[in-house]
Amino acid sequence: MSGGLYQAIRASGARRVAFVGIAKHAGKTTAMNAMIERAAEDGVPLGIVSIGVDGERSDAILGVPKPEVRVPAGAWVASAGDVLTAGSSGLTIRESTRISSTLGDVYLAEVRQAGTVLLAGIRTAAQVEQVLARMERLGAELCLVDGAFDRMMAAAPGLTDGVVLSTGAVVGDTVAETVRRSEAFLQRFLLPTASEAEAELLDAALQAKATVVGVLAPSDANAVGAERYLPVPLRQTPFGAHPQLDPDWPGSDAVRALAVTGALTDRLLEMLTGLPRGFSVVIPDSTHFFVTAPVWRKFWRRGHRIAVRRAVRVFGLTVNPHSVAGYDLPRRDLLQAVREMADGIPVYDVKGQEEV
Amino acid sequence: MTSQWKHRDLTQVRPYGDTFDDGVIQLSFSLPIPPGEEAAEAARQLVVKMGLHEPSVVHQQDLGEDFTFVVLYAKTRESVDVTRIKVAKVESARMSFYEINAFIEERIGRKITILGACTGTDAHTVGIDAIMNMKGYNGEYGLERYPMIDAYNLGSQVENEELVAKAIELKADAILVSQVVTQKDVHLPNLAELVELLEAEGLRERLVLVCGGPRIGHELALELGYDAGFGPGTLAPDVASYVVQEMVKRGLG
Repeated sequence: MSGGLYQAIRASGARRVAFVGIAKHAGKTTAMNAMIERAAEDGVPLGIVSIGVDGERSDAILGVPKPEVRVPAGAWVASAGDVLTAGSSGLTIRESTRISSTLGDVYLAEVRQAGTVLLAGIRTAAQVEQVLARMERLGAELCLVDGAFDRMMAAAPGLTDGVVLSTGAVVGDTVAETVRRSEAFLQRFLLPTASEAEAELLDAALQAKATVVGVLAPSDANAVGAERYLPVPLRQTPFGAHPQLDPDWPGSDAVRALAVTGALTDRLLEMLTGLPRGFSVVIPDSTHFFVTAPVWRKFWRRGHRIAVRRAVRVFGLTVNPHSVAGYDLPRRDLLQAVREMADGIPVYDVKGQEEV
Repeated sequence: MTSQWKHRDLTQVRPYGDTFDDGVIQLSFSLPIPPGEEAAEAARQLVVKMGLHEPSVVHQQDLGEDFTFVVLYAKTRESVDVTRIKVAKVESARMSFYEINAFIEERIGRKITILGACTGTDAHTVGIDAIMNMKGYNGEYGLERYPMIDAYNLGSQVENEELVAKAIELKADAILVSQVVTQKDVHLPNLAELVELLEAEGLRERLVLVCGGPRIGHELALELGYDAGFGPGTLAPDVASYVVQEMVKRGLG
């Protein structure tokens, strides 16, 4: 698997890659291990962190073993003090990050001798940013961020340069079900990039630290394509109240767009579905998209659109035909079906049985 | 015997049945077959397949409808090295009701706001009530009783969105989420989603985020992106001590 995927990452010039899965046990860590191996062969200095708990411990709920994380000499890792020495690798602790956790304070360490490592303690986007920036200053050329469960946080374009997605039999006991669930998971990464007008509206929202309504500027009312939005900041967060009930919601027919700086949820999207056709919602990036498939479909069928200010670059999608529940889906059929669904995103076999 | 357990070897710990290190385990389960010799043999074979030895059925009970409840003893030859175990735990000192209030007054200098809720489909409020309720539990007052804490118990089946909306509205300093986490793990994605929503809203850094429940521990909490995760037996001062010390440590005062 790793051949094409690793080449694609290196060719893009990406320095930070996040591994995001559709669920726990979808194959994120296996995909990351393959990248580590290739980078080590290439002599690329690595920085490796996890936003969950990674390594040779068994799953905290199911008790099944999780894949080990194998690190080469010269790589940088960040992990909590209590588990830093739990792996087989030889590490030299270089500095404290001042991040504390229930597994002890998090340290930055350099791998002296290759082996396994246990990664834990880092849990917020701000902590990931802090640690990656430090690793890069210490010489890491490629930083890999392993995810946890179905958490997307590390995919934010401001934080990493792109993602490797993982899906697999863990989410469905048939090929069709796995593909259906994978498609719903993938859709957020395939959202169109904002038009110039939408992008300006979102920037205005970020600046105003508010949700902003886009009203079609009167001069452009008939000029389709060359439109500009007049930004109207709302007083309340859409989390608390219906945006159309906001005292500042413009009562005009020219309301065309909404820029949401926070989370776009089912509830918010349902409130907007009834607006006249052609309404756009613009969000900063895919990590702000929390809409479920049926609600999104209904919104889309009404002729509306959702756009992202910054697209998350997807390097590839790995597929794991094995489920921790103890069954395997037919490898070829699953790969084939996921490939057909994935809309041009390169699909890789997670166990590497098939070179792509 | 006495000397043996006084100088026990913590690198090889086995279950204690009747004598030291005998590795005896008691098991009980129900089989969907009628009671009798066949049921006993089925139970014994199952236990051997689990990797245990010398199974003996010591009790059978007819459950009706051709079901049988069995109790067995069996032995394990496995042992664990306790000296190598590292578990995630809260290092901050546990303070009393009075100490916590004094700590908030001195170190934070204002009342703090803590929200508690059972989220998603979960309606099991026993845990969060024991932590939040005025009357508390097991001799400890709940957070509602703390003069320096504004505690809001949002109750059961609270949607993550609603919880985030409340956190914004009330300018919460900490959120406590109680979840049962059932066998099928349906509650885990819901717990993870709250963390993601808070990140998307730019609130995660400003909050101490804690989960709790019968199957939750600090390690699972870390994996989900929470700061801490309290398991069974936790009382209000355990949680409050952690929250206030974490706030000070992170400069959230």
